[in-house]
Amino acid sequence: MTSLVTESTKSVIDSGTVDSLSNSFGLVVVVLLIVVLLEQELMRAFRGRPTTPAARRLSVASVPLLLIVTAVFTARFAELVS
Amino acid sequence: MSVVAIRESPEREPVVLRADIARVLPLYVTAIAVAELLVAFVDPLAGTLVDAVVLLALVNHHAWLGSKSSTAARVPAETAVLPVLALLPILRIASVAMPLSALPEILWYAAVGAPVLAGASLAARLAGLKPADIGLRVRSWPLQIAAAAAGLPLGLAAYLIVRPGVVGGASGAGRALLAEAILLVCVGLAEELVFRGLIQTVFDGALRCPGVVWSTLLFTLVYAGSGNAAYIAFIAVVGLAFGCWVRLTGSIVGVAMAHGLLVSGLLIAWPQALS
Repeated sequence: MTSLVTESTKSVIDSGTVDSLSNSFGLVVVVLLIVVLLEQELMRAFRGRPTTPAARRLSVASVPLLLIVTAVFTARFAELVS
Repeated sequence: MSVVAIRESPEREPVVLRADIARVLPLYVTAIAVAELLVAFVDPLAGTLVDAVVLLALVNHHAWLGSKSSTAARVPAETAVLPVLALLPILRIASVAMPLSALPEILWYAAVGAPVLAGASLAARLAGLKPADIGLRVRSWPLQIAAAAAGLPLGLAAYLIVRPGVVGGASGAGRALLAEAILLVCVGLAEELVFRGLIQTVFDGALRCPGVVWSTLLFTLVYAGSGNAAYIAFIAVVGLAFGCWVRLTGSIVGVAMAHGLLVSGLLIAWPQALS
């Protein structure tokens, strides 16, 4: 009942295990993060500078995605060792 | 008390968008609306894929404009709508992709709120907006506390419309206090920072619409997935009122507290008291 945790969030959680959800939603986020990070690296390489305005602008996506991917990997790891 | 007497900040100049951004902005907003409806009513994974494409399009469009500039430490106001709009796909992707099932329900809000707050602070920094520019300041505490107090009756109204159960993990005095703090920061502050702080500021004047209209429209859009027409109408009215208050006072502090109290009333206090 907030924009952060919606009915959809709850139905997604109810629809599968950590394993199956990280193989679908988690995979989308991992691929998205890889694409954004690759773009950042390519921009830096082509400009020959450690940071460029264009690469910096991608951080709006890369930092939140990195947080989500870290959570997905942590959940998978916890599932693995439990 | 007159409007002029309680105004805390001078008005910002309305944004005049670059022509190329003005042409595609309705497309971005429509795509986000489609993604929201897909996530809520059709297939969450399909909606997430659309959100992923929109997010890539927004940040790449913005980066491409940045690649033309050699000194752009600060994003010009006319392009700042792009990183700010990117917060909506980030919000939805976080809400469905975060592995929440192992956590107590109250921590879901913290887990989803963290990436949104990180994205919001980066978008504000990229746009060259200082905390005061996005309403993180208080010049008159009584006014802001009065706004915050509105959260209590609003929470009751929301509860009477939705009638949810008590959120898990918030039983007991200590846990309830922690839950209140999480909802205040991760829902109240995060949503107000995104909608009234950033969207309302950066979109003001975009496509000749006031920032209040943009913030209310997009705020209502992300709640459309609740599927409850009365609740969506309630959210639209609350969003409009919060937006007008922020416009009037230049501060999001009061409405962020009101929003936090609304949500904690909806999910903790009123279900415990009345059910």
